[in-house]
Amino acid sequence: MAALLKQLKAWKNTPAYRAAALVVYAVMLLLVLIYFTGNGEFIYEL
Amino acid sequence: MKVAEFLKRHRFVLLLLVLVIALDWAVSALFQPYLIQSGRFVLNDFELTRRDHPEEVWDRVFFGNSVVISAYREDISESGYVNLGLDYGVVTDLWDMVRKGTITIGSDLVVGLSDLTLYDHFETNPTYPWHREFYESYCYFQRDRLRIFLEEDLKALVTGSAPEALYADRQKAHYTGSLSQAELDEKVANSQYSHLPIEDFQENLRDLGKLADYCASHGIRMRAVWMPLNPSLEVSPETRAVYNQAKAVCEEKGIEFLDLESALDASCFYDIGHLNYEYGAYRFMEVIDPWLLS
Repeated sequence: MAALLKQLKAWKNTPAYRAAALVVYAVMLLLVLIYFTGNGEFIYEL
Repeated sequence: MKVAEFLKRHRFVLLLLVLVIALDWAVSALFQPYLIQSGRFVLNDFELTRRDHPEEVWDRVFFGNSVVISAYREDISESGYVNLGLDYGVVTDLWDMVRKGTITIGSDLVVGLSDLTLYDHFETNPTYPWHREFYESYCYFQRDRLRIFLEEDLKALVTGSAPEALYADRQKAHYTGSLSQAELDEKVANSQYSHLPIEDFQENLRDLGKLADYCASHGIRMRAVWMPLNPSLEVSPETRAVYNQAKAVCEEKGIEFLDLESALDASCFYDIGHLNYEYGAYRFMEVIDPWLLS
């Protein structure tokens, strides 16, 4: 377990981790935009 | 050096911003065609037109509001005009579509005019694509559809059944039959669009002129038709004022103006301006098709 944690800690400092974090954050931001409540459905009234 | 320091210190956030913009653009490139063609989403009138006419250039276009939707029968016309009737469509919408490149018109444009096609404060459908600002994220603008897409696809993944194309046959709204005189009078009495001051039409009248200039400089023949009105109702002085100013703009810009206000009898109408699809639209086509073909 300790070895695994040490490995993860080492991975956090690599460019691959930083790139993956960027993608995850970007996708999360887009999901926030998608799930943001706005005007809702347009209701036909005429 | 300060700029370089700033960039270095904030590189994660700046890269994140660039990536969000790039991903947003990628989603728009992939999702937009699927949205139009999949049949899984309720499409607005512009999207329905785009679905039925996926070609980049629409050579001949007949624009208007829901009156044009119900009047111009693209399926029986020999003229080849694309029915670009839109619910709540106004001339400003058409100008926005043209100047933003949402549509490309080839050689001919006909604008179906009425007072409501020129009303500056008319309701609109906020999902029409030209309402999206340049800084607005595609994912935010299409959030309702993207939510449906993500949730249905996740459900399909879990259950193993494919999402259904429930709206593949959806068409623009048409009208059938006719309102009785009592229903018509009630509709007119309760209408929030009666007796509107001429000041509330200036933006659309101005954009009508801008469209005329654009068409003239791009080799597009633009013509206008004042759409039929139910003859059992009196035309108000306010509507007449809009008619006069619209006609004056067309005459000033050299745009052919066809007046069909009194062209049809009351049995052709569902209400004040909408024709009934099963009869009135055919009568309208008898009148307008020769003119469209000229």
